[in-house]
Amino acid sequence: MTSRRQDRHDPAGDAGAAVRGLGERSLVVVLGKGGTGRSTLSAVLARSLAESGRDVTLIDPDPRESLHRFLGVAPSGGEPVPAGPRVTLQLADPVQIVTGLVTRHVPVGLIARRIVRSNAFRQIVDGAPGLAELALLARACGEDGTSPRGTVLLDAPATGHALALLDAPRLVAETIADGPIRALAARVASVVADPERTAFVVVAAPEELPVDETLELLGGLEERALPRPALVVVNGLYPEAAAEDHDADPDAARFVAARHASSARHAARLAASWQGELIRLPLVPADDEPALVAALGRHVRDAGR
Amino acid sequence: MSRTTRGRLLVVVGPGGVGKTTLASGLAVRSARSGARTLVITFDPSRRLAALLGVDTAAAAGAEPCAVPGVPGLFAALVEPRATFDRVVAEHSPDEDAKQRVLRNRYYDSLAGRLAGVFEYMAVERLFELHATRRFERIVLDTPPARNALDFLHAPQRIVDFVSGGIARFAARDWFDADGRLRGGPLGRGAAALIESTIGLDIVRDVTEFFSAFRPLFDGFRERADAVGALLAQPGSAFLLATAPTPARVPEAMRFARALADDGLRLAAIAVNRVHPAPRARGGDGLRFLSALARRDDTACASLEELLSGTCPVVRVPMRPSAPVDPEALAGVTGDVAEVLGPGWT
Repeated sequence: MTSRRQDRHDPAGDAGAAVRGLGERSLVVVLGKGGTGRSTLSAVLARSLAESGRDVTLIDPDPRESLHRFLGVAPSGGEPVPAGPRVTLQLADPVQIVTGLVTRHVPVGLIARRIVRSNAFRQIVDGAPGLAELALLARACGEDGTSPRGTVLLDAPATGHALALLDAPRLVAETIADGPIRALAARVASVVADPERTAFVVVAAPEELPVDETLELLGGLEERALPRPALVVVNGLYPEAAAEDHDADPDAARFVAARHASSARHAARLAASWQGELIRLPLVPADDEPALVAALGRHVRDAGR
Repeated sequence: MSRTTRGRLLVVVGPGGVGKTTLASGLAVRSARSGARTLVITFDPSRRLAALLGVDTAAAAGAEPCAVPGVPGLFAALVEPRATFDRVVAEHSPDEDAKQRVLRNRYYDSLAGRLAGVFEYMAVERLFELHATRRFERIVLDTPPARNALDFLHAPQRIVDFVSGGIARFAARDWFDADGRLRGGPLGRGAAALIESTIGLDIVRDVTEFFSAFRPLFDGFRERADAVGALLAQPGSAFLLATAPTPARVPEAMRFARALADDGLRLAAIAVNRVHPAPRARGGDGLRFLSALARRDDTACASLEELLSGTCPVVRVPMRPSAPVDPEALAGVTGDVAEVLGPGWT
């Protein structure tokens, strides 16, 4: 049933095809808690799609910018910047996007600009349910007037629940009056719910809490009738300890064996509940982020064979 | 410094996914075993850890401290930010009507669940409440997982500023006239049409209503934030930064150390958690792999030590073969950290 590094739960499909299939969507959302390697995977997938000939725009939702490190380039500072062959990197600032959304739909004038720049307006935007998250999704879908190149890869925010991001269009539709923003929420909701246009990738660490949370997330996606994740990536597995290892240093070998057993057990728990494509990635001891991204990229490529 | 003033409060901060809650719990076990009545306040423990701490019960869901099974003198409290916020509003509202105006407000509902800094601020509120009971000699506060450890430090002030700004802008007078139209108001002339055609006036109504309703609570709110700020700065309070031995975490740890120093707060130590042990001999693939991991971890730790140049102790916490499953194991993980923290924590 299993072959080397990939799991075949669906005999008709395979993980490599799932990765390649991401390039056929206009939006890929990478979900996973902090510490699981989600940002690393976002960069890996961006490079992977670019290598297969697809243009990719990678969106960083963190106001403190961090994705650029994984791509080995300088921070984008807000403008779309090239980050390697076929890859464009962009930071997304929700308030800036909402401001753009508002001013696009009304005659732009000094008064309008002054209003949206006021602290009072910002305060409303900060608290309006789902508005900031909607802005992020709108940018990712290209519904905010920007035309991102190629497939957009959105590295979902680390904290808070991924489901809060995905619930945003509905929240906005419930609290904001009829008008261009509500109409935008409806358009974004339909893009995100369409498996032809949007794919979800879920990243998990092979440990207790991350797997628990991933299973909850998978359940939550299903409850909301959102596209089933194209791929689940379990990131950070330990290798087995060989006989040579036990001979050379029994304590260290036992350590490796125990970590292997634990990570394998948690990965198996996830695989048992997830009847879709799954890739297991090893822990990679790299000295810097670009090296880590390159190493994991090789493993992802191999997973498809 | 006497035992009662030294080491009364330890705040464990750090990014999500590094093992903060485990470290906080382990230090709390040690503290209780040293004879001090100790409380650990936690947010998002795994099921296993919640069971271990005895907080997977209905009582704990009500945020009351529960005795930790098997560790006399140790108590644990689970904090749920929204429930805490609701309780703060309930306790400090001048009357029932005022309380309901806030609790039923849609903008409050959204803020309480998602405004950046609310979780951290509620951690601080709960700390304040429990500290004021004077029931515990020592408190270990685990903090909500944050993208950045700095969020915890600045969140309370950010929330206070947000609320005070909101009150100033929206609650100064009634922005809606008798017919429900938006008057000049906080957004200036010409705002009504713009707002109405884009996000709608309901939101603005909710916002103005919320800040008006919150106004009577604000002074107390700010006083408590100040009181906790003072508590964090007392000689008996200290911070422990938990981080991971990966290259990305080093600059973040440095920023945090600097921010604490700038605020005059005491960073007792940086615990670099789950450091891989180096094998003592060459072997096969498994040991080579472990060796590379140990080298990577060592490089990150050494880099941090060098950047700090002795201004703050860096404690390497070795990774265990498997996750701690009982209080003994939790205490075991934090031995090195406790030693650096000094008497009372061992």
